[in-house]
Amino acid sequence: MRVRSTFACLLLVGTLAPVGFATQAACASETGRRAALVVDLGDEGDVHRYCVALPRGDVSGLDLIELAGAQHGLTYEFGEGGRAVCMLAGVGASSDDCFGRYPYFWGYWKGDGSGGWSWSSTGAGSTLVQDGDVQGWSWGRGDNASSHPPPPATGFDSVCPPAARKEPKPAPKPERDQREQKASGREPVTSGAGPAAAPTAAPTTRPTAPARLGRKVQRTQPQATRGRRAAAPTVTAAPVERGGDLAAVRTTRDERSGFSVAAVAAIALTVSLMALAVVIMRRRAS
Amino acid sequence: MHQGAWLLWATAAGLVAISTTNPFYLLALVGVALLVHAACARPGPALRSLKVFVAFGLITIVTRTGLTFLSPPVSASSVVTGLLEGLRLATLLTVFGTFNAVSDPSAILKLAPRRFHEASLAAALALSIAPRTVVAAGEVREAQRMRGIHVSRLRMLPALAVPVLETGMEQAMALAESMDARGHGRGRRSRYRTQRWDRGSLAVSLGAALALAVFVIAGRIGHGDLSVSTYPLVWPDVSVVLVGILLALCVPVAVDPAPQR
Repeated sequence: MRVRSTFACLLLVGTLAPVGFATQAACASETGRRAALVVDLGDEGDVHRYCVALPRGDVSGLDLIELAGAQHGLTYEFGEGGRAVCMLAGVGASSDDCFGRYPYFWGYWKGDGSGGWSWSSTGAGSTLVQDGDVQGWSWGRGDNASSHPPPPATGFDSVCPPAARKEPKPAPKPERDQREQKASGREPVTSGAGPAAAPTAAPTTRPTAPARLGRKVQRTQPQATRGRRAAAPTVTAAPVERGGDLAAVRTTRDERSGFSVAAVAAIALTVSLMALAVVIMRRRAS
Repeated sequence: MHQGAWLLWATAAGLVAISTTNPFYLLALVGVALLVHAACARPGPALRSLKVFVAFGLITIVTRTGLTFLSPPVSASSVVTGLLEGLRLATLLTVFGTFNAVSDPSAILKLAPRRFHEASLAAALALSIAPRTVVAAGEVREAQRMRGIHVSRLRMLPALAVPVLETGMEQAMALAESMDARGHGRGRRSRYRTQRWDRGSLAVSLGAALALAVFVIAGRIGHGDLSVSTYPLVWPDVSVVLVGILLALCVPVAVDPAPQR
């Protein structure tokens, strides 16, 4: 009985969630709240910066990407049921194979507003974007804050100038980062179309809850554009060919997996602590 | 040992558990909690109450993992996310169960400032209800057995509930009367057997604070993979420093072992 009603509740939440999203999108206007979104394509392109006007209501890190898509034409794809970011501005993987380009993936960073970045410990679906926040996504390898490259230092004011405060919908202002320009002789990328590199890639977010029931996987970029402009001579981009790509992924995984000494030590410690606990318990009981 | 030290220990261990989803740290913390419980739990019904918490912890893991199957795209990533979060909750429950068994509610009550005495008294009574109910239920069941009543557990429930509730009511009345007879709530209280903040308590508090501080700093600078990435599913890093610092939470074992019978 209780199980059934719980299930009904969950179903209800699942059906109502899209309605909530719709209303939220409908009243997306003139709150004057803004957040900065930085998308760093790493070795495969430029750095895009968007000043996103926030609608009323709660906005998650994933909603911010959707808003940037609606306001500035940022292309994106979510996977894993809308919980993970697979592709941004044409770089990354399709939602069918969201982690296809691992160890390269989209790292999620939170800015402190004045240029610094910290690795987000929670998934973009469960963060709350406030007025004046800076959020960053960087394409690269490395599973944690120490090894993943952060986006370039970005202050909130440099993306959303104070003068534009009252402007309800600030004009798109993607700025290019100079270090990327020289990296590849490709045409500069702005907020709109992204150069889709190899159509297999990996994203990341670290969601904590099954927050997004009944959410559809987004696909903004038309299939035609994807892959066509790809395969520019980027230095580190994974090979476009499927087989080679997979092999590369497999070797890096093998390097990583396997128990490290620290992991073995941790397990040994845990087991010995528990064994000691049992011994003491036995002695006390007798 | 000063009860404030136990409070600090539980707070630190609980915050450490919340701060991470890395199974290596969580399991090591469970080991620490079990060891502290084994060495320091007060003799009596509290000694057995940890089982209830551990059982609840296992239920939590199963439930949290099961919930992930309700949200449509089920992948290894989503299941592992649920599993790790369940494990985190279960670790927190184990820590709390240990604290319940090692601390003395009435002694903690004494720590409260006089102004909050009434409120903390209510809190202490509420906290002690669970172990007292377990004891009362055991007594009632024993009495029924002695009278030759053998019914299945489920059908015995109403027969069990009434006397247990009655016992609880009687105990509450007795407590209230005894407090009234001692002049509770009329003017100044005198304190007897004040707890001393001795060297052992200090050591426990320092160990707990150290472990918590190291975990907070590690979370800040991103050391040791406190939050495991599940999208994509990656084998987590383990930091020897963080595992080792959990041993600082074992200080109570040396400082305050329960009296041997």
